[in-house]
Amino acid sequence: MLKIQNLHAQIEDKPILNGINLTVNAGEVHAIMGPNGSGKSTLAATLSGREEYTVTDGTVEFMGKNLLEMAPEERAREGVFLAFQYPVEIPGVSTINFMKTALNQIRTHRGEAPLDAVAFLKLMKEKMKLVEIDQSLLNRSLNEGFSGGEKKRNEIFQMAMLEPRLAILDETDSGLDIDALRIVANGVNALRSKNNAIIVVTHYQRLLDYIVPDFVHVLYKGRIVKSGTKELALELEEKGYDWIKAGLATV
Amino acid sequence: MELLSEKGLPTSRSEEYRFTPVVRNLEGIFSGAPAPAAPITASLDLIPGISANLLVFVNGRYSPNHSKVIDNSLTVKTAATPAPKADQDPFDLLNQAFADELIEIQVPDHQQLVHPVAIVYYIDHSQFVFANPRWSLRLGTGSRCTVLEYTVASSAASFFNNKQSTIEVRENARLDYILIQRGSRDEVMVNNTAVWLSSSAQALCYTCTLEGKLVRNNLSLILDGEGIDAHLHGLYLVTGQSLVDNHSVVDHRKPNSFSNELYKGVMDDNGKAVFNGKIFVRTDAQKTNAFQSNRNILLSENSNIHTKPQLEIWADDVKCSHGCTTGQLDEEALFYLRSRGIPKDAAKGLLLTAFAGETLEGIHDEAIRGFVESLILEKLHTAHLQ
Ligand SMILES: Nc1ncnc2c1ncn2[C@@H]1O[C@H](COP(=O)(O)OP(=O)(O)OP(=O)(O)O)[C@@H](O)[C@H]1O
Ligand SMILES: [Mg+2]
Repeated sequence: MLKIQNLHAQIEDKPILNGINLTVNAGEVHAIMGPNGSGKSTLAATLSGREEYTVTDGTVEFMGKNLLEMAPEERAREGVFLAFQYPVEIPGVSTINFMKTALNQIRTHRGEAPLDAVAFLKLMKEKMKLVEIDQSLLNRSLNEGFSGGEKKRNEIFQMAMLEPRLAILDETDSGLDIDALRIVANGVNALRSKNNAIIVVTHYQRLLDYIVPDFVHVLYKGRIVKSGTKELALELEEKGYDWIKAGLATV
Repeated sequence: MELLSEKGLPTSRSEEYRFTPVVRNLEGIFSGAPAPAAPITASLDLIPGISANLLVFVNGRYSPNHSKVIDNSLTVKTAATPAPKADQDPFDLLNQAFADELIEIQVPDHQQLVHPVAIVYYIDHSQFVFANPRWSLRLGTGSRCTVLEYTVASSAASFFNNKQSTIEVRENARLDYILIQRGSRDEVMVNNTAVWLSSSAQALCYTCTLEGKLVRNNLSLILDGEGIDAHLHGLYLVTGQSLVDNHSVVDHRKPNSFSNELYKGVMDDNGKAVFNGKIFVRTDAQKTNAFQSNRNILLSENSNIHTKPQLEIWADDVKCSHGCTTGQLDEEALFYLRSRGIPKDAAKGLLLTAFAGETLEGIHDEAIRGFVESLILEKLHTAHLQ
C-alpha cells in the first residue's frame, strides 16, 4: 500500500528526514516511536503533503501512485488521513459543516454520489457513537476551546467519517484520560480491516496494549534505526532509548 | 457655501483625510449639474421576497413617485436643510450647499415597524452624477426598526454619492441599521452618519462594503444616556484598485453604557483600507464598557491596511479594550482543511467566510442576515479572493 524509499526532507534548509525506508501493507498496523524531535511528526506531515517540508530525495508510492506529486487534498481523496498531534482551531467553521464538504469531495472522487443531509446525519450519528463524542461539540467551531482530549477524539471521529485507506495517528494518545484512551483505541480498532492500514506514532506502550501493532519502528535523527515486533515497544518502555543510541554510536 | 469655501475641501494634508484623497477623485465634477432622472428600469428591491418601505433618492434627490411606504405608522416629510455650522465635516457642508431639502423619516413612539425601511440611492448613468442625499431618522421611544441602505446604479457609470444622515434613537428603542455598499466599481462615496442614542436604546450599525472605487464612511455614535447597548460592526472586502476608509467615533457621555465595535477586512489585489476608531469616555461616563477590535487579512503583496485605534478616556471607573490584527490567511488552518480532502480554493473560501461571518452576528432579522451573508459569499467567490 505504502512504500517509502530513502526519503529525505528538510524545512528551511534544515534536514530532518535522512533516508526513511518503510513499507506498509494493507491490513497492517505499524507503530513509530522515537525520542522528541526525531522527525516523527515531520514524516507524518510529509506524507500528508505539508508544503513547508521540502522533499530533497527519495520516493513515496501509495497504491501504486506517486504520492509526492499530489496536493494535500488529492492525497486525502486517495485515502491518506492524518490525525494531527496538534489539531488546529478554526473559528467560525463547525466540524459538521466542514466534514460534510470533505466527505462529499472524497465520495465524488471515489465515484460515489454525495450524501444528502439526511444520509449524512445518519452516518454522523453512527460514527459519533463509535468514538462517544457529543453532537454539541461538533456543532461548535472546529476545535475552538476544545479540551486536549476532545480535540483528539474529534480527529478520530473525522477518521471514522472519511474511512481512509491509510491512517496516520500522530500521538493521538497524548492528552487522553484512561477512559478516553480506551474509547479512541476501540474506535480505531473498529475501523481496522484487511483493506486498510494504520501508522501509530506514540511515545507509550499503553496505547499499543489496545491497538496492537504488527511492527514497531524506532525513528532517531530522521532515520529508522531499529524495527521489530510489538515486543520492541515493551523493551523501549523498560529501557528507554539510550541503549539504541549507544548501539548506533559503536557501529 | 461660504463656510465651505473658507475651510476648503480636505486634501491628503488634512489629518482626518490623510489616506483618502477624495478630492483628487472628484476633479471636474463641479462643472456638471445633477443629471435629470430617466425612467427607472432597474429593480429597486434589494432582497428578493422581502417587501420594504422604499424611500428612493434619484441622483441624490428624494423621489416620492418612486418611493412606497407600506407601514402606516412610518412618516416621511420634506423639510428645508438646516443652517450650516462651523464644526461640520467639510463633506457635510458640501452636501448642504447642494441639497436643498432634508428628508425626515419618523417611527412614532412604541411602534414596531413590520417591514424594514429601505433607503435606496438610484443613480442614473446618462452622465457623471454628483448626488447629495440628506435625511434624518427618528425612532420614537420604545419603537423598533430595521434600516437597509444601498445604492442601485443602472450601469457601471461613475458617480459621487455624498450622503449625510442623522439618526436619533429614543429611550428603549431598537435600531438595526445595515449599510450595504456595492453600487458600482466606479463609485466614490462619502457617507456621514451620526447616531444619537438615548437611555436604554439598542443599536446595531453594520457597514458592509463590497464594492466602490473610493469609499469613506464617517460613522459616529453618541451615547447620550444610560444603559445603552451599542454595536458597530463592519466588513470590507477590498479588491482591484479600491480604497475603503472607515472612520468611527463612539462617544460615551453618560454612565453605565456598553459599546462593542468589530470591524473586519479582507484585502486583495491593490486593495487598500483604513480603519480609524475613536472611543471617547467622558468624565461623567463612569462604569462604561467599551470594546473595539479590528482584524484584517491581506491576501496579496500589494494590498494594505492602515489601522489606528484612538481611545480617550476621562472617566476612571471603566472597562475598555481595543486590539487590531493584520495577517495572512492561517496556513495551518488551510492545510488542516486540505488534508481532509477539501480543495485549496474551497478551503480558502471556508476560512474567509468564517472570518467575515462573525460580523453578521447581531442582525436581528434572519432573512436580512441570510441575504447579506449571500452577498458576502458572492463577493468572496467572484473576486480574486482565492
Ligand atoms: N517549522 C519548523 N521549523 C524549524 N524546525 C522545525 C520545524 N518543524 C519541525 N522542526 C524541527 O524538526 C525536528 C523534528 O520535529 P518533529 O516534530 O518531526 O519531531 P517529533 O519526532 O514529532 O517530536 P515529538 O515527539 O516531540 O512530537 C525538531 O528538531 C524540530 O524542532
Ligand atoms: Mg511529533
